[in-house]
Formats: sequence, structure tokens, C-alpha cells
Amino acid sequence: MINLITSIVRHRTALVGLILLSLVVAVAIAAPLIVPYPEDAQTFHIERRLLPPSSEALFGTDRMGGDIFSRVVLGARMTLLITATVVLSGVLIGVPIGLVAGYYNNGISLVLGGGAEILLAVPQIILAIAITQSLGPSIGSVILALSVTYWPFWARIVFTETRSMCHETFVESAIALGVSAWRVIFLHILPNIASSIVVRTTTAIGTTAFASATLGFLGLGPPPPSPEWGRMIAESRDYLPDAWWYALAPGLALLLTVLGCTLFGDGLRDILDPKTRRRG
Amino acid sequence: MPDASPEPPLRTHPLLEVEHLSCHFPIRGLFGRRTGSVRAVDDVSFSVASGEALGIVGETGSGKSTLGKMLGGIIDPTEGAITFAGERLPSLRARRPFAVRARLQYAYQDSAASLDPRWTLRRSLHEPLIIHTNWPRERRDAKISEIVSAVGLADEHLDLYPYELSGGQQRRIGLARTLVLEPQVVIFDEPTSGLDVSVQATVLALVRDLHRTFKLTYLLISHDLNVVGSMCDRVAVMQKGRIVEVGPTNEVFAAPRHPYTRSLLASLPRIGGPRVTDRLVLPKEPTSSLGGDKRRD
Repeated sequence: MINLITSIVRHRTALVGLILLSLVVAVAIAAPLIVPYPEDAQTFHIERRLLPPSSEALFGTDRMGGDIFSRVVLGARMTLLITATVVLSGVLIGVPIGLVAGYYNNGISLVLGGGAEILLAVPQIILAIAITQSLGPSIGSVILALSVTYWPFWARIVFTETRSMCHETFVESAIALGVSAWRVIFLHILPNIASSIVVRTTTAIGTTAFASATLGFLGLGPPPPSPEWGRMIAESRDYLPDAWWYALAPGLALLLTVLGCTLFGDGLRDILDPKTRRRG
Repeated sequence: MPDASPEPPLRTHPLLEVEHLSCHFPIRGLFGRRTGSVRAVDDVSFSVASGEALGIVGETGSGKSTLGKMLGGIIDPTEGAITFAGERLPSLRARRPFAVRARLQYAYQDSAASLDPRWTLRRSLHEPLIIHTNWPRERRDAKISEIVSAVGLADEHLDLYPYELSGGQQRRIGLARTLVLEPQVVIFDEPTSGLDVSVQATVLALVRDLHRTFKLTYLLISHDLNVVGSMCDRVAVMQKGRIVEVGPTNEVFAAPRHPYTRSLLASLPRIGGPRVTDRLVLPKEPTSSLGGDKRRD
């Protein structure tokens, strides 16, 4: 564990990614303390609409007179809530399916693996749009739509890794010795593929945040006036280029989140990959 | 009693009996159509008495390891039967009785690879005992200490990970994991390959000790005739998936009947002897063991 922390600190990419990601999470958690105008999430102040950045409104105000900085910070909570739930359910659905499908080589694995492949063949965002559209725009439908479409990513990587693990001598010999399937899967295979899952999950946080913003941008996210980055960017289009600050804060927030996850994921891959890991 | 058969009659009931065992790997063409098969092991029969050491020799690709893995329940045979301690084993490895898995074991060529790289050696050695016994932790610890000192390692090694050991130490731990359940029969697949000569000697001495102390019956798969000569009572010579000659080691080595055995023996390097390359008559990889309607050259 200490080794892992030292390697992350030494690995510049991973460190930058981790700092960005921690920043976003910290802001989301501490939002009530940071936000200058907490009521702006719900209320309108038409008298101060579309004001450029100033000392009072750090990133300007939007078409309803809401402080953009406050709304972006509050939006971080929403993005994080959606992302965390989707990623968690993706892991909880995808990993067991990948393990079972990869370990066994029978009809069940064909159905599970085939199901995951079919879902992967359809562009995720299109499927998510179809689901949110039919459920109606809300936070719940975004979470459901993304969870349903994103678990195959975990299932596929776990499936491939499990298959190759099954050919490892230590797994083969454990099976020949009579070690039960659940013991082999959870005590031998899972710990050995955990690093791939962690890397995949880190990258997926960024992808999911981006996908949820995309749904918001298309008007399929949580309904107005709740603050959501994607919809804020969508609203800004009507006022560009005059109100140039409108999209700046939400766009930047989204960029930093996705960038943080990608950098951290890449760094983790370098650090955890057994082929590049120093031995001894 | 004079007997013409190459195998002398066994006085004791055979512990392990193999009848007409075959293993064919399919060659698949376009769309997974079966276009032929490689006969890795082809109609092999022999038996091993309790306490006996049988050597299996042959060049690379002659089917030695496949034979060993079938016996160890790692590969399913295509045909044939394995009888262990009077009990005929099911041909599907998944149906092999649980108790047999502890009593008949295959020790991998690279026995260190049978250790989970993320587990400490202690945990790896506990596992066979956890699944095959209901011993309390203290008793398992005691057994593990015993077996670890039997293979010549100290208890302090147990808290290390496999990659922290030297090659020879890894072999010893691999053997310890195999032997901790006190199997009746162990199939050692090339136990000395990749080790330097002094470590080879200690590993072999270890196997011999275990043979004496635990009355271990073993099959020793090797391409090294010197190793088999010093370790085994009887030897089976394999070529292209078939056993071409079986008999007591000293007889086979002194008067080989089969031309293949003669060429194997002739290829043994000796200091001051003829250069190996001068008289090499071994055929190449066993392409001629391909069956079916298509051949690959």
C-alpha cells in the first residue's frame, strides 16, 4: 500500500490525475461551504442575468441570473452522484458476469459473454439516449440508462483476463487439486486481475461523467432548474459569443474531471501492470 | 520364470494402471471444421506398482507431458482408462473423485508456476490442507513446518512471495505444496529442467529422500537419460505418442531393443565421447504422428 502511494507520487501523470480527481471530489463534498449563492440552484434573479465575471460572480451569471460558479460547484455533486452510482453498479454487475463467463466454458458463459458483446456493439450513448427518452428526463433515468449500457465494459475486460488466468499454471493446478470454483474465482483469479479492474474503473469514471453530461446537454438529464454541467453548456449556445463566460466554468469542470480520470487511469496502468512492475 | 514380454510380471497389485490411453488434439481448419488431429499420446498402456519409480523418457514433443497431465487430471484423455488403487477413474477430469486428487498428483515442470504470485508461500501451502482436511490451523502449521524442513527450507521463507525466492527454492516450495497432502503417486514432470547442475542434484536427492521416507511412488518424466537412470527402477521410452519400450532401467539401458531407444542412448553426451552432432539420428518433431486426412509439414 505504501509502495503504491510512493509510486503514484513518483509517477507525474498519475499524480496530476489524482490531484485533479481529488479536487473535483473535494469540491463536490465541500460544496455547501464553498458556494457563495447556494439558493441559485433553484431560484431566479432576472435583474442580474448574463453578467460577465466580476468579484461578485466569479464566472459570471447565466440567463436566469444564477451565479455560474455556484451552479458549477453544486453541479459537481450531481455529476459525482450519477457517476459513482453508475460505476458502482457497472462493477457490481460487470465483474461477476465477466468472472463466471470467463471461468466456465459452457452455455452460460456463451449467453453472458454474447449478451455483453451485443450491448457493446450498439453505441452506448445511443442506447442510453433511447432509455432516458422513454423513461423521461430525471436523475434516476440517467443513472439507470448508463448502468445498463456501461456494465459490459467491465464484463469484457474481466472475461478476457479470467480466460487467460484459467490457462495459468497455478489456476490449472488448483483446479486439478480439487479447489472449488468459487475459491479459484474469488481467491486466485480476482486478486490477480484486480489491477486491471481498478484501472478500467478509474478511466470509466471520466467516461461516465462525460456521458452523463452528454445526456444533460441533450436535455435528457435532470430537469431544470437543477444545476447540471451538460445542460449549462447547452443553454450557453444561445448566448455565444457575447456571453463567452457562460460555458467556460461548466466546460472547464467537465474537462478537468475527465482529464483527471484519464491521467490517473493511465498512470495506474503503468504502475500496476505486472509487465512493467519492478520485481524483487 | 522366463517371460518374453518386455514387462516383468508384477507381484503386487498395481497402484496405477493405464490402459490404451490416448489423447488427440484436433486440428481445426476454416470455420472450426476438424481437419485432422495430433496424436499427442496414442494407445499407451503400462502399470506402476506401489513404491515403484517409473521413468518416462523421450524427446520433446513425444507426448510425455501430455501423458503426465492426463494422469494428473489436467487434460481429459480422448480414449482409454486410468485405474488408481483398484478404482477406475472417470474419463472427465471434472468428475475425478475428490480424494484421488490429493492422492495422485502431477508436479508441474516449473513447480513455482503452480504458486499464486500474489499469495505468500505460507498461504499457498495451507490451501491444499484447507480444502482436503478439516485440521485446525495449528495442526496445519505443524504439518507445513514438517514438509518445509523436509524439502530443505526454513520456516522464515514462508512469509515470502514466490518471486522473492531463487529458482531452486521455488522448486522446493512447489514440491512441498504437492507433497503436503502426502500423495501416494506423484508425477514429476522434468523436475530438473532449467536448474543448474548442483541444484539439479539436490532436487533429485530430495525426491529420492521422499521416496524413502514417505514410500512415495513416482513417475519421473524427463528427456535426461542420466537422471532417469539414477532415479528409476523401470523406464518407458516414448516416441511420437507411443511407448516403444518398457523395462527395468538397467536392462533397457544396457541392451535397448528398440532402435529409437538406441539412438536416444547414443545421443547422450559424454566427455571424450563422440560429438553429439556427429551421429545425430533423431528424427525431427513428430510430424508423422498427425492423423486424419490432412498432414502438416
